[in-house]
Amino acid sequence: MTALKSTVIPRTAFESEGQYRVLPCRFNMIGERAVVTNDVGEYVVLPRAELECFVDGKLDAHSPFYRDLKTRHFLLESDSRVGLDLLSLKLRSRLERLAEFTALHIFVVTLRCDHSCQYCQVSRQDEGTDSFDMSVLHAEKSLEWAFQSPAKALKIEFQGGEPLLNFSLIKHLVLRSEILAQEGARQVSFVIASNLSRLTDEILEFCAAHQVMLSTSLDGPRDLHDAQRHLRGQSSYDLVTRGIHRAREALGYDGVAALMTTTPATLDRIEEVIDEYVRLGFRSIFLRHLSPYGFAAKSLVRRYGSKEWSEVYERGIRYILSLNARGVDLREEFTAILLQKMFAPLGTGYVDLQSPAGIGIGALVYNYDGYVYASDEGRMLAEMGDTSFQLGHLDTDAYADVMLGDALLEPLQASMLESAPLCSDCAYLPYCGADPTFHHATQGDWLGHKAFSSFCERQTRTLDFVIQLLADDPNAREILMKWVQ
Amino acid sequence: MSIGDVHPNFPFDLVDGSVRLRLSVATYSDYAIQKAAYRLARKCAVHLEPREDGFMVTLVPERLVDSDSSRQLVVDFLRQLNDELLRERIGEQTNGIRELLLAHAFSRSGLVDVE
Repeated sequence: MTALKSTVIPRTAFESEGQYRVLPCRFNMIGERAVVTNDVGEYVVLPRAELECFVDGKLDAHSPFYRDLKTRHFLLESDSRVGLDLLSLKLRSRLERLAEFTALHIFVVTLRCDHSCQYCQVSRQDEGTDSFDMSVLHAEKSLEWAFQSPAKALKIEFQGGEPLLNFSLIKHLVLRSEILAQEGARQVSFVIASNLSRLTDEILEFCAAHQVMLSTSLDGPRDLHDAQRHLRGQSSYDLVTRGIHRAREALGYDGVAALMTTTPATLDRIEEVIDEYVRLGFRSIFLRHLSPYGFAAKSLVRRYGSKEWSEVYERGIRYILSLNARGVDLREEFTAILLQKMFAPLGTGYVDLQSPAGIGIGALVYNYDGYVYASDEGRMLAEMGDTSFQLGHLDTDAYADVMLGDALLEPLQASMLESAPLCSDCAYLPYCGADPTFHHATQGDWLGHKAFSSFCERQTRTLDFVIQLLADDPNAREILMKWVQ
Repeated sequence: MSIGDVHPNFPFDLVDGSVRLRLSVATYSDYAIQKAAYRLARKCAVHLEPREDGFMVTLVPERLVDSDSSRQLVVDFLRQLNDELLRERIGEQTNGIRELLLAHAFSRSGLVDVE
């Protein structure tokens, strides 16, 4: 009994002594409250006065904020190294993605397209002109580059134009990739980004046999979708909804995903767009704003700013949450990505929200003409005459030279958030990303002045909104936490 | 009063549509003033003039301001400045630990060349 007693440590021995060291953290203010985050993406919301007490080493050990700050690695008690070791381990896990770079490889197999969408960001070409198709030689070289990337799991995405107009090349690339993956013990998955207008039984059979997924565009109800996505003599909406049903039958229910683009016409109708996704049985929707690339998109994006976008986004999220509360299974993908960055140990590989930026090391784009770009948006800029993100050409350059070349490393280095004014102090740094393409396009600078950046304004508004929902609305929090899983 | 609060009667002058205020170096570092100015760049340009005991700060808004909006501008500037001071205090206590954490996280990761 005495021996047993000597092994039992009284509860008081585990109580906090109130002596602590502050660990690295950043804060932003939302009204009178501070959002405090650390490098591994943990966060605490607390009143400003409590934050000051904490920084001054005077926070009461019995305060509920003390417990939160301790369990989330914002303070370190006594001389224990356990907290520091755990924090560095978490940081290492979060940064591990850097070693396995370039998981996504985008093949622009043709610029031909049968649609003429009002926000189109590439210079689509008429269906008949096969001079805008990728050659087999360039396709083969692109694959060689893709398989030189260190990432163990590769994702190959076929884009256009309308990629199904060059389906024979897609087939060739899928079959060849499977052989290369087997030889190199790599995983490879495939996605075709298509308007589904050219979907045939033969294509679906091939996709089913080779686990090729489909991703399409659906902008909302018929009138909105058809007004934004013109198809001569036919309804794009009819073709895409028919395609979605057929794809689900052939590939399984989640074998086809859809994306929407918000135009000025969408702003008053976001609930109708969401209803359309629910009606068609989708379990997710990505509320996407317009990007400032391409001539048409540039004029459209001027017609709504970050503030209008945020209002629509917030309305949309509140509507989706109300649907969830009524038992509808629907999540919003951008919010889910942010939540993953906040709560999942490894964060997310979403290319647009990375630091260092996702250009080149998150995705590479092989254009139909053999040019290689650091991002899809970089390819779109090149269509407008700005080749800043053109990394090289498959005929004349080598993979290693391009990946270590100034054209890629300079914007990566210059745009890192950790050393950027405003960003390096921002609580939202772990949830945000450097976007050198956006800031180059809008401010002529890889980094951009964030006080003038609509990217920064949109991110800040979105995260303020999500964090307030999590803090103040228990019902919303319960639903949002399910989106992380 | 918390450091985040702004004194309601903080003195400033409105001169030709610009706002002038004096800041003491005993309270504010030039680095904190510059960071607060950078943060407010969308609202106004900021001119700093060193004085014996501190700085004369001139906030130059894009449009001429009246006394109400000039007070709001001063409040915004001082709030940002106080946030920067708090960030400086956090930085003083944690910069060494951040470097230690990064070194530990990257040790034996293969991402750092040991030679």
